[in-house]
Amino acid sequence: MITNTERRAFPVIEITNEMPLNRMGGVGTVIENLISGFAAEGVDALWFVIDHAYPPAEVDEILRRFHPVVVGSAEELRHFTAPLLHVHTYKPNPALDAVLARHRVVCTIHSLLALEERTNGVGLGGARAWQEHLISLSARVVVLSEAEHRHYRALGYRQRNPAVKVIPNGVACAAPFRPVRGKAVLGYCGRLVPRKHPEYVQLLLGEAHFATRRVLVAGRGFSPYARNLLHAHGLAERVSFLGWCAGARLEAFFEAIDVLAVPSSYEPFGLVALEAAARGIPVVCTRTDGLHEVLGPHAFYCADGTYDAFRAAMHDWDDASPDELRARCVAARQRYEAHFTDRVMARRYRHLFAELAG
Amino acid sequence: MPSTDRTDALASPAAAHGSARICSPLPLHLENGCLVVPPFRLAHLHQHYTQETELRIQLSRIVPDLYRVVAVHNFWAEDTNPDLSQCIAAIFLGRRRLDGTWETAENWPLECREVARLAYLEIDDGATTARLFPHDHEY
Repeated sequence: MITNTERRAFPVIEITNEMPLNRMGGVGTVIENLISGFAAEGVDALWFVIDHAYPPAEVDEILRRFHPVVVGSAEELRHFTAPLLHVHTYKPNPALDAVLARHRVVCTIHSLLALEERTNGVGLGGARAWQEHLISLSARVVVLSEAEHRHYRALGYRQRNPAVKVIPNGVACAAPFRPVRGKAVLGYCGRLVPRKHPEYVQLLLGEAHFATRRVLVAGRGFSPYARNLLHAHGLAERVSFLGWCAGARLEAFFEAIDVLAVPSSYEPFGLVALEAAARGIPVVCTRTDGLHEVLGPHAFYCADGTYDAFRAAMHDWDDASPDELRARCVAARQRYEAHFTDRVMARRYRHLFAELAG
Repeated sequence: MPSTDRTDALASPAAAHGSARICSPLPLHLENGCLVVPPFRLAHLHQHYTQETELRIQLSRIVPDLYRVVAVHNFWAEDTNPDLSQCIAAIFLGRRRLDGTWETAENWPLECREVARLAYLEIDDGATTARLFPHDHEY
């Protein structure tokens, strides 16, 4: 066990396999905003990093950047006390299971793995089974949107655990709000997986109407499909893949794009759409799951999940006047400030923790 | 980002001018049982792919066979460089399959993008000897 704290008692222990460093996915971003939100709300959590893939140098960096942190095994949780354990990891771990059985547990379901399997055409057997087990043993299950709650019920998970609370994600945004942008650069940000349809925005470049535009793609997971798409449609000159962006590079991406495309077929929340809205970037997206809850009426929505519907929504964005775009972006920003900041998210968790601890 | 003077010198003149997927003359070499890849910077389309440190790949840890040495855009490292024309590179060793095709960097679980083919690497049984061939060597 490695730690940077001598304290042993905390109001809550946050158990995660991702921190905001070399993050594997959205969970690292949520943890980043929980850290800032909890600090603002006075929630004095311990960050317990378990089942991680960080090499020693990154563990050192985590301990340097964040506090209080423990990097250790499930068994080493015994050195710390808290009335509540808040779990974010889906990696099967029998030792952690044994610890959780002796504690009051909240788990946050960042995405339902049963739906990830269905929409990405992959098998996540062990992790899905662990997530379902985690749901069963928790005092309260947190999901990120009302839509996710509906999926939860449709999957029959209420039989596993009916005690569900919806707490949307929130993000801090230090970047300036800039609602006046051009029409030249189309952006995509997220894992390059089937359910997010990263190909849609690239295919758009083949349309005569979008013949002069460029695409920036931020996200990990290049594939033979992505390679073949570029070759088959002659897009390589006009699509720039930026890799897995974070920090200043992610900010540069947001600064460079004129619109963000999120044509996902499943999106438990829509974190990247929220990050765009906070910065004044118009969003073209499906009316799917959490996306509609995050953006309300202020996005350009696809009528359905097809490419044709996406293209039509992109035309709507392209045809919008500067005043209309500005009005939408201002309204989306106001919605963000009212409901989806890091502090609002942290406050909702603080209330939940108080309710469960009491 | 650090100066690119040193790494530019390692790439070919064509690569330095942003037109080629080729790195020549061969900047790789074998030394003390390792494949040594010096720091490099490759241009491809409108972006540059940089590996800032020397890589030493221990051959005894690699199954003896024939490999294609490929520079890839590293999609596994979190990139914080705000210069969007710069990307993080890495080296991928693609093994030749029994049917004569090659493992590719884009396939799961690597999911990285090939940028340039650098060389072929042949490791004999027992990993006692290894040979490097130029990227345009015919196999």
